[in-house]
Amino acid sequence: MKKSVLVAALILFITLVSCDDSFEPKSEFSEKYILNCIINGDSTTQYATVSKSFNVDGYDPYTNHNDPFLKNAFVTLTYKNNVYRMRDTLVSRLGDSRYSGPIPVYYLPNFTPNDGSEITVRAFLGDEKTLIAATKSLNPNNFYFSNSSRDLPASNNYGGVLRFTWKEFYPDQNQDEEIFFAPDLIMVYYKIENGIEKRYQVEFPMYLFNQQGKDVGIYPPIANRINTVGYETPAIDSIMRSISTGDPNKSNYFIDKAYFRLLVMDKNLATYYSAQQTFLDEFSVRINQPDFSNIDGGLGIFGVYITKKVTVNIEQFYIESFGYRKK
Amino acid sequence: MKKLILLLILLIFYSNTKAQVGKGTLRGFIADSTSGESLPFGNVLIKDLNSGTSTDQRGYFIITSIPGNKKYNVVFSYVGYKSKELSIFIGANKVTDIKIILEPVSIQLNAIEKVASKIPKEKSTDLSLQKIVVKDLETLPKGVEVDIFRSLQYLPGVRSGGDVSAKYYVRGGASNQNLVMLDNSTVYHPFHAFGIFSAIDPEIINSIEFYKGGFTSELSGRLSSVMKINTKDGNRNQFGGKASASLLSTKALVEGPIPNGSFLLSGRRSHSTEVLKKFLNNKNAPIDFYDVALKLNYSDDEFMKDAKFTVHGFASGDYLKNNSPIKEDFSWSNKIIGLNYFQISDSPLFYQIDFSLSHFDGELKPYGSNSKARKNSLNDISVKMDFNYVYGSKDELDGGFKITEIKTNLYLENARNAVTEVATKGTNISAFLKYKLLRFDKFGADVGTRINLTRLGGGGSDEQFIEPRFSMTYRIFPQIAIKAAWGLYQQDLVTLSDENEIINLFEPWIITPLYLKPSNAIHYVVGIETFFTPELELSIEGYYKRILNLALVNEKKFFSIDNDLVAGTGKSYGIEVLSRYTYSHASLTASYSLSNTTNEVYGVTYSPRYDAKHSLNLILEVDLGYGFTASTTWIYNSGQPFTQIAGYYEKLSIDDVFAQNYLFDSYTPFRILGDKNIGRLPDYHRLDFNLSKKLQLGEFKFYLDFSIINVYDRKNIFYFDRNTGERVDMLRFLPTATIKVEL
Repeated sequence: MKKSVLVAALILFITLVSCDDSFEPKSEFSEKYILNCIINGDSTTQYATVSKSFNVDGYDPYTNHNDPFLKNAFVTLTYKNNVYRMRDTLVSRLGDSRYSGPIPVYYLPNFTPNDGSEITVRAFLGDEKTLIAATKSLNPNNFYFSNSSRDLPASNNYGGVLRFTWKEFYPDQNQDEEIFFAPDLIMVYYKIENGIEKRYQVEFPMYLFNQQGKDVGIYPPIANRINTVGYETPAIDSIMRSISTGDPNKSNYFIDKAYFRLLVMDKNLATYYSAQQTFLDEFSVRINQPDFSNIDGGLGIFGVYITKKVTVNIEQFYIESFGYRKK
Repeated sequence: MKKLILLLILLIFYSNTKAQVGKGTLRGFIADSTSGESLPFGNVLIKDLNSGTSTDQRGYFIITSIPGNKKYNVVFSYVGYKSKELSIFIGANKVTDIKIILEPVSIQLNAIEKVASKIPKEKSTDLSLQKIVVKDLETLPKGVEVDIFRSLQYLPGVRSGGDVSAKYYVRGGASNQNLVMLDNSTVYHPFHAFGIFSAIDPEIINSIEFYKGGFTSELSGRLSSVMKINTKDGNRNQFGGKASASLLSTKALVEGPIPNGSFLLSGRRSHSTEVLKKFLNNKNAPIDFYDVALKLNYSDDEFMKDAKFTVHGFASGDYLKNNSPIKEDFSWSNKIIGLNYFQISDSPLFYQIDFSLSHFDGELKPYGSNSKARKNSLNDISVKMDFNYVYGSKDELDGGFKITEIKTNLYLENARNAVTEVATKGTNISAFLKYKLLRFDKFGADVGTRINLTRLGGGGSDEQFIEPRFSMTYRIFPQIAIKAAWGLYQQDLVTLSDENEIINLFEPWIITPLYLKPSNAIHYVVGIETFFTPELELSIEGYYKRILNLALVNEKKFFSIDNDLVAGTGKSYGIEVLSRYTYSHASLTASYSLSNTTNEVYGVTYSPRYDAKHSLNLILEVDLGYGFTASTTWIYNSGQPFTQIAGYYEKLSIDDVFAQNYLFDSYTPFRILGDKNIGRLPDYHRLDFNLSKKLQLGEFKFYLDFSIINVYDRKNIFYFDRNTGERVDMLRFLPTATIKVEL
């Protein structure tokens, strides 16, 4: 009796140790198609790319060297009841690309959809596969800046805050919540390095936030209900100082101008961009990464944007107060 | 209808008054002879009447409606203690008070001691309630130390977060739907070290009541489960101390009498993180943690007759310090202070007033890492008063009110350093009343309701929420009882925790924002409980739980102005079987659950990560004699859901929206995921073994403990890293040892 119990226990033990626990991290691969087209309302030429999904042996997608970008797709833009076929071409890739050869790109010259009308992109891929997406074009004339001081340093009359305010003109008097704004204030400066003048660009935060005794710059968010951004003098001073931290030769720095840029985009593009801005700490293990697509029938993005830019003059005395020189 | 209810109430009061004539009441307290510590859930049996009751969590009991002016043979028993039989005279129209001291015996698994436990359960409406005495857990295999939360995984309907987490999920509810109370104060972060261990040292625990669902109206605030932990009072008879060391921590406890009371002070601190590498896939986690608990009791009949005052404090802290300017640090802490006043009045009435302050802090300091600063704090100030009145008819009336003020602060930064700082404050005022119908021999019922007058998140009168609860027991045969429970439950405090993250280091508590209604659940539970022989217990429960306004993390939060939470729904149902067979010096416990859990959000239905279809636990405990105890456990869970990879694509990456021409060369491979959680990981199973030896050398008692976790070295998958293809397993074969010295 004891022997049979022992044998049974042994069999159970061996079964448990050796039982198959294989599992399939991948589901059956089914090909998907991807369309990317971002309409630049300031440009006369629009571009798109079409690609297909791929599978790899293992889990490292960088091992794929078969170019997934597709030529010979039939890509159209429909705007104001007119259908425009995008032409295909090949554009050289950067040197570090995994794919040999140029990238197939679709383009449409002399086309600037910018009056607020609806625009639709379609990609016909054969076998009745069609990718489609629609959005509304942006009219640059609907966005304009209010008059205000555009000099650095900001005048004390404005509380030491360099403020930019913009307005939107809505023909139908309704605020368009589908429009998002990405503001930034950048400064271009040059530095002499080994006798050569190099160009740099730096972004200013809106204000500084003290976190555990350390100042952290807070930058403007991408949002749809903002129409003003203010930059506090201490935040600007902090960046002005930081560009030459540790370098005693302040006179090697030449300051040119600053620019306030306002990128106006539709909700699709704003969401796509924001979805990429996720972060994790060292110990977190997130299973699912957020993704966003507005392409019906596939993946990718169809969005529109325009940019508005304001030049900010930087006073010479302010530049020199940091030991720098005016360009 | 109103007249009918009024008539019913009058009838109950009339019958209660009438029933008391000529009857007496026996009321008492059962304690341990060596320490004076109360013995919760002990049994009291009036042999002549074949009726009895059990002690509550405080060790008190009350039996009413005993025909007066007679002597009765009463048996007091408790597992692991020598039973005591006394002849007690019960006076008519009187309350007879008695204090019983029971002596511990060396053999713990004694079937004879189980006999009396059968009687009190006859009418108790305790469906889905598990009463746990920590002594029972000490013989089970330990991960590294005895851990109350880890031990819960042996109960049907409770799913653990895996070997590397003490987090638990009850009947398909999320982990933040579990309430943990320490001496009636809420503990908001009851974990150490990423949630690997519980923060409450088992050495300080006297008893645990764990409600898996269908709980009655005195309990509130969570949708899925309630764990009420009652700590020890400390030795009332003599000073004593305990010290122990495991591979993880060192701890010490001192206790002893004070004038008219006792005290207990315990402390635990981690001393090595080496063993944590076993839990964290060889990842070095520089975790440092501590917990401290203090309890003082005072009861002086000259000062206030039959009253007991308790002051208790608890503090725990966890620090993950990388000591690097380029790596982030974490910290979590709990601080609790509470005051309890318990009073027995001359009539068969108990009442208790509790005041507590509970504070939780969690912080991520990013320093030079890519992480973003996150900080959360919570302050809970609660006052509550509960009373329990026992009628001569044996019926009981419970009531009480609770006022809780909660303040939460949440600070978050996003990738562009945009800051979200939300401070919320709210007060919940609620009251409950419940009537326990216990007058019938075969039938018991518990009818009550809780009324929330205000919600934490604010809101007017339309936000009132009534939580009616009902539970009943009907014993159709002496050996078989049918039980049922139903109730509505509300939760207005949630964590911003992404259940998709395998390890969640930062789980901030927030009051449910006003854009969401408080989450609410409805529980339906039915069960059968059998006692065919004193040695064999078998219970079967089925449940259905539906959750509305389930606060889930908004996975489509792309902008800072988007809501952090969205309302979903949840549905869970299952059947659970628990059987325990005790014979001589051995005990075999088997539990099985079959369940199904789904959540729905954005119109998509999916199984949450903690859903387990089948779950089976087997526990064999044997008292080998000579101070040796052996136990072995085998756990089986069917595989957890996970989302499969459906392929890859070149995703357009926009690092800088102002950059031009990124359409030509800014692409990064990106995974395409299949339907959410449609795949299943391999099944989980593990065999553990434990051998304990108790020995006494002079004044010192030594407890030696040797455990082997995962005896057959099963590779249980923890998660699959989609980035690297690396399979990360849970605990492999791990022998551990602890030594405890008690003076």
